[in-house]
Formats: sequence, structure tokens, C-alpha cells
Amino acid sequence: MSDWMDLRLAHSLTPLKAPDALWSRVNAGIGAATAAERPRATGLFRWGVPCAVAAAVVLLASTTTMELRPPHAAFVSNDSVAVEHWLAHEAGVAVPIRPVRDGQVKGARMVRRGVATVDYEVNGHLETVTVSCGGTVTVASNTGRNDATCKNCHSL
Amino acid sequence: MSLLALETGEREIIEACRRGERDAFRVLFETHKDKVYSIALRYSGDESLAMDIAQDAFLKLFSSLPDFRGDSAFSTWMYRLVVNACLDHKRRSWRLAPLADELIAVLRAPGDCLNALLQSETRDRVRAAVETLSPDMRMAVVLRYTEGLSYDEIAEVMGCSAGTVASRLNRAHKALERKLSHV
Repeated sequence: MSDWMDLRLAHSLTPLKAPDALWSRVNAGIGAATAAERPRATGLFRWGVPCAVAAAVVLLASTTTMELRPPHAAFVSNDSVAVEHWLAHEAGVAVPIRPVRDGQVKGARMVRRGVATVDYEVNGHLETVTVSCGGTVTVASNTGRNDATCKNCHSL
Repeated sequence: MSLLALETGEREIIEACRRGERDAFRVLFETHKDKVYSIALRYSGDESLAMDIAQDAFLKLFSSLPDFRGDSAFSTWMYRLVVNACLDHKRRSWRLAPLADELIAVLRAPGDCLNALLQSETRDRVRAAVETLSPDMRMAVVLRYTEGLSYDEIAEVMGCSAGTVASRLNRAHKALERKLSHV
């Protein structure tokens, strides 16, 4: 390589001072790049947070529903037809619920699917009859007066 | 070389930049701006394109600083960013504006400035000849004559062997001698 060319190149390709405008451009570019990242964060916020909130609501609703399941499994009514209808559709127990003498039906409660209890108030006493799927009725009076409880229906 | 091996000041600046401190990045910019711009301009031969390249290089520097592990010297790492920014930019078409500017300058110049203008023209011809070299040869020439890097340093920046650098420079010299034989 010739010294002449070395000198020519060294003389022609000297370093230069960068224009002052370069910083403005770089700074603006950094600002734009930073701003471009914000929508991603905003997008994350926009979708991520609502999703998290929705998930929390669903979870809370599920928990609440589970906690409220026992009250929903009970039906309070003095209408024997309504109680019979509820038993058939909600508890899966198809049994006739008839009006009783000297008292009235107070409601029903599902023990599990196919098994329920029916509450009566007779002469100021609360009596409970357990009924099961298929129309089998098992008297389980909490008053100890099973015969009397049977007669609530069968005497009609 | 680890990051700890860097000079204390430079290490602190880089760490501050990694934390996103703009003032620290401004210090880094002021330290290296002339070097980055010089390479960009000498490589591209176009002031506007050089500004684009320099801007890209610094933006890349800003975004890549968290990735700098200190495996190589910071200056080498930064040179690579600039070189890549240069190679990423396609060459613009040859512009007539600089020639028009020169012509106007010659017409307006008093007689005692003629010699200076002729020298300036010679420099421009050399630069124009450099611009016709292939990207690899051109970059080797710029790093050698603008930045004064050694063959080994150029090899590290360009990711090739020192022998390859020597070969590129040798071929560049021969090509330039042919183009500038009339100067």
C-alpha cells in the first residue's frame, strides 16, 4: 500500500464534529420509542386488569353461589301446590303435597337430589316429613308423633 | 473483560443508563457523538443519511444497553452498533446538490482561495472514490482512516480476522489508486 494513498485517505476521511441537531433527533427518537412502549403497557392494563377483575368476579360469584346453595335449596311457601311443584323440579322428588288439617305446609328443603324434607306447622308444632324420589314417603317427624304426621295427609 | 473492568466513570454512566437515566445517556452521547457521526458520514458520504444512521445507532445503543455484558470493550461494542447501522442503510442515489454547492463556491471564491478549493475538491474526489467501494471494504477504510483503529481492532468490530481486514484494505487501496490516478 502506498504512502501516498495512506496520506490521501487520512487527509480526506478526517473525523468530524456531530451537528448539534443530532441530540434533538436522538432525544426525540427515545421519547417516541418510550411513548410507543406505553400503549403496550396501557394495552396490558386495558385488557389485563379487566380480565383479572372479571376472573375475580366470576370466582367470587361462584363462591357466593356455592355458599348460597343451601338457602337456594330451601323453598318457603304456605302454598302446597307451589311446594309440590318445587319439590318435583328442584329436588327431583315427585310426591303429592296436600293441605293438612289444623295446620299448613311451611316449605321444603332439599337434602340432596332425590331426597327432601317438607315442613308443616300443625297445632303450633313444626313437623318435618322426609320424602324421597319415586314418591316414597318416609315419615321422620321431629315431634315424635309419626302417626299424627301420617294423618296430616292420609286422613284427608 | 467484565463490566467491573471498565473505567469507573464509564461503568457508572452505563449503569445509570441501564436504570433509564436520560442525563447519563446524554453524557454517553456527548462522549461518542463525534465518533458515531464521523463513521456514518465517511461511510455514507451523505450528511442527511449520516444523521439518520447516527440517530439509529444511538437509539439502538439506548435500547441495547441492558444487553451489554462487558464481554468486550464498550467502545468496540459501540463501534459494532454503528457499523451495523451503516450496513443496514441502503445507499442513497448519488446526489447532485453537493456538486452544485461546490460549483457555486468556486464561482464566488476570490483568487487566493482557489488553492484551498482545489484541495477541497481533491478530498471530495477521494471521498467519492471511497463511496464506490464495496460496503465491507469501505467500512474497513473508514475505521482505519477516520477512527485510526488497528487491524486487530477493526477485525473485532467487523467480526472477521485481521488477515481479512488486511486483504480488504489492500484491495481497497488498489481500487482507489486506479480511480484516483488522475488526481
